[in-house]
Amino acid sequence: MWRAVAAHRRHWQEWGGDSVVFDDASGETHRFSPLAAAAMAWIEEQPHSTASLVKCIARHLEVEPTEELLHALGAVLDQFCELDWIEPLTPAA
Amino acid sequence: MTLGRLSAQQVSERLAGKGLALATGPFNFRVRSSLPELAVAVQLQYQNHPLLPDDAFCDCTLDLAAPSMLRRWLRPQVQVRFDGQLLFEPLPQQQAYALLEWTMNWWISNYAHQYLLLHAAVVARADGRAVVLPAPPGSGKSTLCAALTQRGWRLLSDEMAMISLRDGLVYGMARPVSLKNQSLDVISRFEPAAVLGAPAHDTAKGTVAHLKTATADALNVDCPARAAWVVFPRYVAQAPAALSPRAKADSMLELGRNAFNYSLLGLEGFNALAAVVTNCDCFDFSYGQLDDAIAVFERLAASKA
Repeated sequence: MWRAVAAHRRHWQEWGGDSVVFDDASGETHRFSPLAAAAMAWIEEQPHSTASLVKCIARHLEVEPTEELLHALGAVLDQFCELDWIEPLTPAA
Repeated sequence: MTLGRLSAQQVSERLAGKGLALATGPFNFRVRSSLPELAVAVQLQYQNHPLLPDDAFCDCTLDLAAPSMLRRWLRPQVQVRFDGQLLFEPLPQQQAYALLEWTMNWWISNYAHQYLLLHAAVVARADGRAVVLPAPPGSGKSTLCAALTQRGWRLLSDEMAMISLRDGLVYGMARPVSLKNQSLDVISRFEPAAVLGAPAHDTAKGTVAHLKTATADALNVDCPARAAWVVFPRYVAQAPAALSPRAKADSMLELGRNAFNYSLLGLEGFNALAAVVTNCDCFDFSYGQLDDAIAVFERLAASKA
């Protein structure tokens, strides 16, 4: 499961699937694909597993939940982790 | 009152005395110098800009002078002080006017953070719609900007788009367009009536001269404009003039990279830039001939109410 970290520090601007995000913490601006934008939106709404994200995104983008989509999503999630925007949700100790 | 109301001698005397207080849009500069070539250049280039009273508040006071008595005679140099503080290495004295312009740009990019400052030229239609032309040096930005101003577009700036954080409008200074090297001949051929100042040779940018601002543009210096287009120009020899849409997200990132203070402004800068991009149509533009380029801009202006 993935959950969003400090969603309040990210500021999105979207133009019909073309989007940029400003990160308050780093001061950097990033461009994201429709896939990345959709993934972040779902995770910010509530924690998701990678599998459930694939289903949500496939439905949202009206595409098949293929292996290719899974790989693309994996790359996006890796990027989010590097940016410290998401983290694995671990069971409470 | 404009500076043109003063005689050459009065300009020299004011420069050598309390200084000339020039109004360039949002900023007032006080310039002091006893260098004769600077007086000639300032009188030519700022002839139509508002002149303020001697005791008017100025955002910045610049003193340009020879660094030492010896240097007055042996390879004369000029150096500049901002509010008394020495800036930069001395330059050959024939570059005094260019140094003044560069220092004004330096001051704005370092102090005017009530604006989002984009490295871009800005020209506008009479109805207040502006085109922002961001580009790195060598892209033909200033040449294109100069040409547009010779064909009815109003000059706001050839160097800096100043987006107000307060109202989102683009403010200009209508200062002279800085042209370099081959661009000087290109503009002289394009518009033989264009007035160019004395060239400064062997600068870090090559030979530089400034194009005098049109009278109407200088008189309208206080009128902000609304950005309607962002066009990334690129000169390509012999290429046809071609405009192609550019994605807004990509345009925004490129504008941010071309900004002087985007990172410094943080979220305010992001919001200001996002608003500009949202309100503008964004394009890449390549051109090889100025006449063709002007025609494209005319069509662009006619296509959007």
